Amino acid sequence: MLALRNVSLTIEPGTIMAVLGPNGAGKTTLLRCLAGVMIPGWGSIEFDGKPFRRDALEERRRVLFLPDIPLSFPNMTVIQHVAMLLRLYQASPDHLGDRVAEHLEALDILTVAGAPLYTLSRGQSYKSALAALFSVDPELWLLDEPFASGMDPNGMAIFKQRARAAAAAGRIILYSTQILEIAESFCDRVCVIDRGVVRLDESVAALRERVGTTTGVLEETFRRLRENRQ
Amino acid sequence: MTFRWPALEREIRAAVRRRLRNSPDARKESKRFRPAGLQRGHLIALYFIAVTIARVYSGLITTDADLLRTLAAASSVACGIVVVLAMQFQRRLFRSIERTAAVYLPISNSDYFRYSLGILPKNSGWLFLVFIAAFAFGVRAPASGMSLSMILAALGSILLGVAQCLVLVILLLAWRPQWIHTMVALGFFALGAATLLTPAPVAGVLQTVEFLLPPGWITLAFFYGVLKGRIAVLLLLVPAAAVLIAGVRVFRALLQSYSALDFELAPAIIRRIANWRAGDATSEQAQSDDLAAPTWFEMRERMLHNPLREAVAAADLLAPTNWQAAGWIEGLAARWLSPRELALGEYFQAWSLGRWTVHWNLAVKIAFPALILALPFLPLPGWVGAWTALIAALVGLPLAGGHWPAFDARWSSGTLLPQFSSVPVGYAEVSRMIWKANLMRTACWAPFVLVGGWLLAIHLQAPPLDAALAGVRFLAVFVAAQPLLVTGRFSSATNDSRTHFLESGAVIALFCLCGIAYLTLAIFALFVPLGLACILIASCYLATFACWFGYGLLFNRARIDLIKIPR
Repeated sequence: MLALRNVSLTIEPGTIMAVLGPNGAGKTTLLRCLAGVMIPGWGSIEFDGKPFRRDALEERRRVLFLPDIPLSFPNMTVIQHVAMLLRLYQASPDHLGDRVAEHLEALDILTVAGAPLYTLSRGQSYKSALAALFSVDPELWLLDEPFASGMDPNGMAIFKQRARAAAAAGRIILYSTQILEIAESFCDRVCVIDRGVVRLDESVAALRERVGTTTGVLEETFRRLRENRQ
Repeated sequence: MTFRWPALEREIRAAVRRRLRNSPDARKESKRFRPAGLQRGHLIALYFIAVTIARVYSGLITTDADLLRTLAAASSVACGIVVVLAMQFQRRLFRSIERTAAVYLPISNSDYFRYSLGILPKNSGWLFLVFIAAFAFGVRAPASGMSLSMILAALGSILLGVAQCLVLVILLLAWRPQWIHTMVALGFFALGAATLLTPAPVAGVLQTVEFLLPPGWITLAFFYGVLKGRIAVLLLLVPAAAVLIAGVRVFRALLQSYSALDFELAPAIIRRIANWRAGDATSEQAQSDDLAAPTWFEMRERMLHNPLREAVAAADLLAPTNWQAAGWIEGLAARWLSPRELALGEYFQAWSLGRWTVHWNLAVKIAFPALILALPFLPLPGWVGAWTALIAALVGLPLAGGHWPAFDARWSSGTLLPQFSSVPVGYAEVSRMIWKANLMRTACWAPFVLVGGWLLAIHLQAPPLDAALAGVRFLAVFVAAQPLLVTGRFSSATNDSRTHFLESGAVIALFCLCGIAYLTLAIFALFVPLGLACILIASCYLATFACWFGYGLLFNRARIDLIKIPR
């Protein structure tokens, strides 16, 4: 099965990119390929110009993939989960406890820090994984549908705030979503995939200029793409 | 009860086809989502059928020994197929997405149970290919004097063998292990294939293994009782029938006790939730009591010092867990493992340390009575102790490579992803950690194997030194299997053999070649003179390391998906 065809993206450091597209278009497949979970049927994935290898752990530690349902062991507590990720990513020990506590508190999960993950709600579980992501702070954040993860408004606000700060520090944030209103206000670039092909890869500002509207630009873009498709 | 509405499904399919016909793009798009037709199991079954039929028509089957060998292989493959079906059944009953969905539907437990059972015959159609192979064999076996009744008896024997397997599997289901590993089914397939392909002495040993299983009793009863006229051997049908009858009862009990809601939350977990909630409530209660009469200063103090935050901030998050406290085997292993391997060990065991010591303790509880039973002055047959010791070894040794939950898959991101897929862990470092752990566990178990072998030697009136050496050989052969088992663990977490890429063929060929080479060499290594055995054991290591290395090349170069199901 061919999920993606001729996909080639160039993303500058410090960019937040929203990956959009209809269901089954290949958004998640793109994220999985970038995370090294899935192999492309054709072509290759390169990391800084070198072919991706799973044993290049230094390179892999620069990327963290957060699926829509985070992979975690239900019997682990929130702290154990975060600590395990930090150990596997070989995080720097400087003020680590403080940083983790700060993220947990900001995400309102400090009070459940000692609770096993199976006792938490879906949103809380996702926040635990998000706290781990913030604590690891990799160079490339890959998030599959973070805004459909069951997080409360505060969680989403904190995610946006931390992602903006990370982008300002040179990180790349790549996330998929179906919520156009959020994508329009929370990304620097938009990538629209349809039937495995990149239909659009443009900055939101340029898109606004081209479409000639300041609000609802993504909705209008989608409408036009669908019309062209038919 | 049925979840399907075939007439409506046909109608919808027709409507979809009509719409797709009008749009070439959409039709092309729909082809992307077609499921793969041929699965790994089909390939293995077809391979077996092809080999058997080729043997039959090329005139390779001419003697009674060939007859027995083919029947044993057919029984083994049938066992493998049935285990695969049972795994599907178990998964559907206890762990499937359908089950999760069914909880929210207005249906009863028995409805879902029957629905799961009803799917099995549909998936088991190709089981009859084995019987066709047996039939072809029967038609072409004039040397053994097969008549039509004999052919029917041959088919009946295999059918009964399958029934026996079903009973065993039902017993397994009733016991509800966490999983029946794919390796069990693959082991049966490999056993069947090896019985057909290996030289006569090795095949003889493999046949003996097959005849220790209930389907083998039936085959033996058929061969010696029906073909050779040794009526006494038909007594083997009695325990087989007893298992069958017991199985029916167990199956009924399983149907009656099958519950909708306990499949995910095992009682132990439910208890832990209750305990945790109780603890939480108590602490909340305590907090509210404390808050009953705070002074202004106390309130300000509390606002300034959040104890939870302080506790997290002060925690050494990168420190390893206390392996020594988890158990003495874990403690020994921790001394040998590097800090990175400790982290990997904790992650791959899902932070549940202590199982190795628990298993060792359980194995010792079985092994001690076994060793006493094997003592020479007791008036019991030697095999009683030997068999009990074997069961103890099964419990104590990491025979399937150990339990590593990080290889288990979870539904995430629209597919089944193994737990370790989203973290940066390396093939080599994980393999090294598992080898070290398994070697430590084997070393802790070695004294029992050696003492058991020595006692067995006394029974068999063999020199004790030879028995000790036999034990050492067994352990060396077992340790040699570890690279293969670790590779199997990685493989079981992927869809490597279920895609139609070149890599799938390479993976299947790699496992088959190295697996058969290891099995053959290992069996010879147990019985040949010591000097030759050393060479064969070294060759075993070479074969299994070749498999591990070859798979690693594909894995590290990202030529294998870290996804459990075919895409």
